[in-house]
Amino acid sequence: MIRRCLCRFLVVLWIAVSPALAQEAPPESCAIPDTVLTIDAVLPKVRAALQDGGALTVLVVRTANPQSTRAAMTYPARLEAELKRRMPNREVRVAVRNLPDESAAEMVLELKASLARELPSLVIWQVGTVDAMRNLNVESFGEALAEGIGLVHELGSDIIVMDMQYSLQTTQLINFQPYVDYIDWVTQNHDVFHFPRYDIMRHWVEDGQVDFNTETPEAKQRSFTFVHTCLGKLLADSIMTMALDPDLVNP
Amino acid sequence: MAGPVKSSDDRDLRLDFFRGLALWFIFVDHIPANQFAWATLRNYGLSDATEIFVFISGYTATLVYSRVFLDRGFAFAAAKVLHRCWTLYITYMFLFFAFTAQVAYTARVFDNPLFREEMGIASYFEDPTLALVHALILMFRPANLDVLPLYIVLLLAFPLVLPGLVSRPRLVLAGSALLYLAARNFQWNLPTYPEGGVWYFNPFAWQFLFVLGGAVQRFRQAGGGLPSSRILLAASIGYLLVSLVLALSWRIAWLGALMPPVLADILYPISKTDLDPLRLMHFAALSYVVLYYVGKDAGWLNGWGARPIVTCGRQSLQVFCLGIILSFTGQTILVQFNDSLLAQLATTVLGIGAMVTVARILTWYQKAERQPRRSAPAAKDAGA
Repeated sequence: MIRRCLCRFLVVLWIAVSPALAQEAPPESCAIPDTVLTIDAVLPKVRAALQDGGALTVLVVRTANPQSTRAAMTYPARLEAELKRRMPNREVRVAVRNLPDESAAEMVLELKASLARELPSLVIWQVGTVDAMRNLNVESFGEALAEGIGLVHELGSDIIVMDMQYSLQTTQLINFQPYVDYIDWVTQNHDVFHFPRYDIMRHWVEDGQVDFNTETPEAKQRSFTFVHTCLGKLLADSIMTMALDPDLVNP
Repeated sequence: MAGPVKSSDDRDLRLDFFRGLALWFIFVDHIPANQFAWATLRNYGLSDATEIFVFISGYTATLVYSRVFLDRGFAFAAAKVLHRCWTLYITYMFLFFAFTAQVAYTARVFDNPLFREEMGIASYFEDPTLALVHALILMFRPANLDVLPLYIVLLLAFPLVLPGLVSRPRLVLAGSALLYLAARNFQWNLPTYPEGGVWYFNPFAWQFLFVLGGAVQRFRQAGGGLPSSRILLAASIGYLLVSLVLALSWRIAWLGALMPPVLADILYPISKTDLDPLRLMHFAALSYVVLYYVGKDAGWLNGWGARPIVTCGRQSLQVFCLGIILSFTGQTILVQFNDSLLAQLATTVLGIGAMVTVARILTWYQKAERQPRRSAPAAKDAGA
């Protein structure tokens, strides 16, 4: 925290003293410091799938209700493209299951049903938004989270848990932090990777890389594209690291 | 938040000081974009300003209403408590509408497909009529407006325990502890709207701290003092230090990495909703250490440095409400216009300045209003 404060302070200072530099179009960089995004888990099933030379199948389970015309720009589609780009000779499939307005507990049932039909190598579970919006009991949320992770492991897939979106405006209306903390805690207990979307987007906001205040359609489009593109890229980076980095082999 | 005691001689300034401090912390903590929140209590231990606020509220409520109860009887005391609840309720409604007006401004971000596709503003304000009705019965509230509904229901139930607190404080405290344990065990809590949610501050759990404050007031009234024990002091300081390391380990990555995972399995989750015993113990240890070193007659409480905080603590309802509005306004300003470190500092300083100014005006007004009519009954609820 203190270190982060200092970093932010330096960033602010830098922007303050070099207005000319800051005026220049910022590079569309998705880069995130290690303090925000730390890889601390492994994906044994993905690793095995890649070693066998078979297809890499990913299932994204999330609470979104996307407009079909934009689907190609959202992070699951971007993730698929990024993985294919990194592994041109391999078959990569990213399937999406949209469960708008479903709480973590409700999603667990769907997870069970989905995995029974087809077992992917990896499940990316985007969860927490609905629970936070509805003030659902954080402890029950944590239990559902643990149950879902246990279920996926039991059925034989790897899992990555992704938390909520961040904006100053939404945090003003919805108390996300206790749920984010719970995701952090439960994933740590289960040695599962928590993809910290909340902190990542917060970093972009504080860094001035995305701006949710400007209300022109172009600005909205730009932030939409930036966030989804970068999330897809960062997810792909994380998956590749966890599946291929020899230093990360499970003991 | 019960009215201040009129005879200023036996007034314990520590109550005002620490309640005022809690109000400042609550204001600063409620601005998510404000990095100066690192200075507040919650970053250095397990409990935070809410515990202080609820405990002192229980203490002062008992102080004021037990006197009314002994002088004028149960019916009048109960009526007086309910009158106070009504004031709080009206205040809450006012806050709610001030809040909603600001929300309408802020919620435009949901127009961004990035958020709309995942959150759907529609489901948040799906049915304004229903949301309003639920707001009236305290079931629908925006983030950050949680403490006041808690205080309202605690005070609403207060007449039920007041006679018991006066005659048998130990028995009432035991009953309260039982309810606390049962609520934690059986997960009793009040519901919220939209359906399925629960109160962020579980009143069945938090009532214990309120009653504890009341019981402590009764013990002191009966001549009891703080037990002076070196062992207790050492244990409290030890616990505070361990909590400090634990709290810092959440913020500082390398410290977090040093924590054995077993510890996490045993300790967490440290629930704020259900007032985890570890939080309760932290609050108890903190109060013991503070009260050990800060006596009732500590000179600095009357000094110029403490005065702004004491003044705020004395007008706690008004200052609390003002703080909530100010923190939301401050957040909106930081979000919409400028979130530089300088703007954050300015927001913090101006907000606290406004709280102190309003508290001083209220104190002056109450004093001025009382002066010409010395014969009038003095037991009116003046402050918060």
